[in-house]
Amino acid sequence: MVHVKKISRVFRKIPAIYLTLVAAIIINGLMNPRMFTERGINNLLLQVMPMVLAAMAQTSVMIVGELDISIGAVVGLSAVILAVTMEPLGWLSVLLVMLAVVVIGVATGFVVAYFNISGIVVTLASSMIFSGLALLILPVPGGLITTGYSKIFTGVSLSIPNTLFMLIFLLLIWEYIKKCTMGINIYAAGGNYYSAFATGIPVKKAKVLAFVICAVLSGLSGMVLAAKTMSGDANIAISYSITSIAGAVLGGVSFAGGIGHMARAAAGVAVISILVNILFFLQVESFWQYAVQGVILLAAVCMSQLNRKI
Amino acid sequence: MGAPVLETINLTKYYNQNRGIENINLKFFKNNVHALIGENGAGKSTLIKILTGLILPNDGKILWNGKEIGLQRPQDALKKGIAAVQQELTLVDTMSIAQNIYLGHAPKGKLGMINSRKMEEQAAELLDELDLKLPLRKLVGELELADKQLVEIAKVLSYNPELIILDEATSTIGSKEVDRLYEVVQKLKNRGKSIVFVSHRMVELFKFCDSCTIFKDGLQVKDAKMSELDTDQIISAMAGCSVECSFPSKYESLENDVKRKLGKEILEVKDLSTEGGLEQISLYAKSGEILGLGGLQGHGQVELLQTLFGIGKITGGHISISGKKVRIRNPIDAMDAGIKLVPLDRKTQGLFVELSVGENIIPCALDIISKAGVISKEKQENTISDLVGKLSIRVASAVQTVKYLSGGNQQKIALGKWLLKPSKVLLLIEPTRGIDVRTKTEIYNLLRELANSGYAIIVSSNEILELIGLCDRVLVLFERKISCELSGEELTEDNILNASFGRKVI
Repeated sequence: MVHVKKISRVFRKIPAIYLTLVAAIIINGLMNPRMFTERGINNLLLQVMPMVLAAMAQTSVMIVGELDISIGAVVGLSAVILAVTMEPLGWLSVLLVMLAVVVIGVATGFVVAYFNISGIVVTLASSMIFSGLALLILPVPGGLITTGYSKIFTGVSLSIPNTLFMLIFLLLIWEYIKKCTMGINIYAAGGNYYSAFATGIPVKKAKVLAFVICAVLSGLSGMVLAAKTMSGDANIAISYSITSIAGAVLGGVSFAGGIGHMARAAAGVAVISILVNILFFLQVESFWQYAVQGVILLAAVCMSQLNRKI
Repeated sequence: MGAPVLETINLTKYYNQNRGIENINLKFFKNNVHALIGENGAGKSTLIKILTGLILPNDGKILWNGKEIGLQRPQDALKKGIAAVQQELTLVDTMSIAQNIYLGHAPKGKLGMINSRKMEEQAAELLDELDLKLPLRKLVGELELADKQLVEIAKVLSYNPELIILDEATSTIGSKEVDRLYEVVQKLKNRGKSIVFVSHRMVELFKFCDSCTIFKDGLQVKDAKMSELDTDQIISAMAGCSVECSFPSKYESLENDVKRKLGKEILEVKDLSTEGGLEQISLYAKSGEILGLGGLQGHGQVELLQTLFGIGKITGGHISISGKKVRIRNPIDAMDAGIKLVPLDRKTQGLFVELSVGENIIPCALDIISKAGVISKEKQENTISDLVGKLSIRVASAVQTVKYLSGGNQQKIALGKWLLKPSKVLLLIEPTRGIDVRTKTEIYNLLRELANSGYAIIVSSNEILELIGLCDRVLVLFERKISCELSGEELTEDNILNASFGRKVI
């Protein structure tokens, strides 16, 4: 009896989304035992990683109280730039992508913060711009991604997938940012913009920073995607804009701002992705897949609303 | 006393044409608690917003320890050592108490990360001084308003400011906490701080403060030591004449045969209690009469009128129209009963600002201008131009967007739209707020006309002269109850002010 009580106390402290993720992985594994091999785990991580990075990007912006629906377009644009410039520029192409996304982040954040326009509106427009730009650069999927580059993301070191190292590294950096002044400013500006402003917090700069973090993570997502598919495809990631929101919300990030953990958002979107696998194995038609995702998202939001203390 | 810590010289701020404050010369000293006294709109908040860097003055200087300074943003004021506890809290609900107290200036640890443990230690010390026991990790959003206000006070003190402004910081906390706050204020005063105290409660002003400045209509009326004044003197200094307004003649001056047609009780409210805190309110309004609701802001006037219009839950008592009890659960019930409301904020509650004059008026007259669900264009245009003419609304055309009209014209539309169909009771919340003198007079005349044609009108107002000039009877609300009823010769400024502070009226 004591054992049961202790176990249930431990379980109650772990955020539900992690338990759901573990359950999803187990169910997926039961349907596809090959998933539990080294190769299987690597494949699973590669499958979810681009979306995970996109969800983390969205989390940064949601915490400051905004939404970014251009993430999908930026992911595609990054992959495309990489695919087109890798041949002539080699490793400089990575630098170019990073530079491009930082500029995108600063520009988007600037317009949102200093022109006082809602993030959704600005990124609606910018998503069209970046999408169009990506198609201009690479109208059909193609380009060249070297195997050397690809192996960095698809490879395995010490039996652990490289992508896992990257994910852990990024989450640790976010933990650090959270505890620094700028991180607190992002949470404060999202929690209550007026209060943060009246307290003397540089709220506009905080918004810009959140958008820069978002753009950089979107750029990384594009880089992983390019490594995985070994090509550039402008529109492959368009659905990321919405799925990243779904994953973040599932992971407990609040629309109102000021609340959210990147790790949980990552878990949220991973659950959605694995769910698609499970539905595929159950031979559910694609239409129902989308619908089921929607129902689960709605149920999760309702439940968290009922549990609200604030 | 020594040299002042903060001095303002000819500080002036205008909001468009309206005077916020003009030529304010103040000195704040160490080891001193200075009160700012004045009615709502007298200029206290404007002054405080300037001193805390939230707005910029149009003219004048601010000296800090003798040197001229500029306060462009909230950070500037905080850095100098000026901090204010405002009525509008600056807490972030999604963060903990400790995080809120040290927001923006938390102690840092290794690698630039915030040292949470040290932050919580310091927060615990601070709360200890305030004699507050609150769990530091609790989210502020889970607290009651009174506790939130105490966290806000702790937050301000955490900056260790030299000049501390308490702007109605006691408005939501109980007497036990006020006593605690008094101890804290005494401690701070003895430590050499300069404290600025704003409150409407006379008892607190005399208890907490050493000196005071009285404001009226944005001007500095009187500076004195609290020991030199008594309540009556303060109240009469706060009151007094503002801009001249002319008022139409009242009910008593009507011809007798006209009076006979009016004078019947239309609205009766008995023992009304609401979820929002009104308790056992009873009143009546007669046709032909303009009833005023006075008292300090926030003592239930807005809530009472909104409740009569169906906004807010009724928990006890009843409302009757022309002798029949009516159930008012929402605005539609109220409108069916013949009660109409001109709300407090015309821009967000009374009008569709992005739409045209005509489009604002039509929704209230749909059944007049349409047949079987189809609007007759001719009837629509006639109705609109009739109303525009009757109210002398100065518009180029009925298609002009309401957003671009003057406040006065906007208010006329917010009021006028109800006049297309007959009603019994017209409620207005601060109807002449932010409106020029000429339009005010037009509205007063209109209201009197409506009263003479049979309406019972209830107007809530912050302007005492308006209440005296316009209304036949005035009910003064104090702490959500009716403090007294004044009419005829008793309807004077002093009586209204005294009743507003809960004092008995002779």
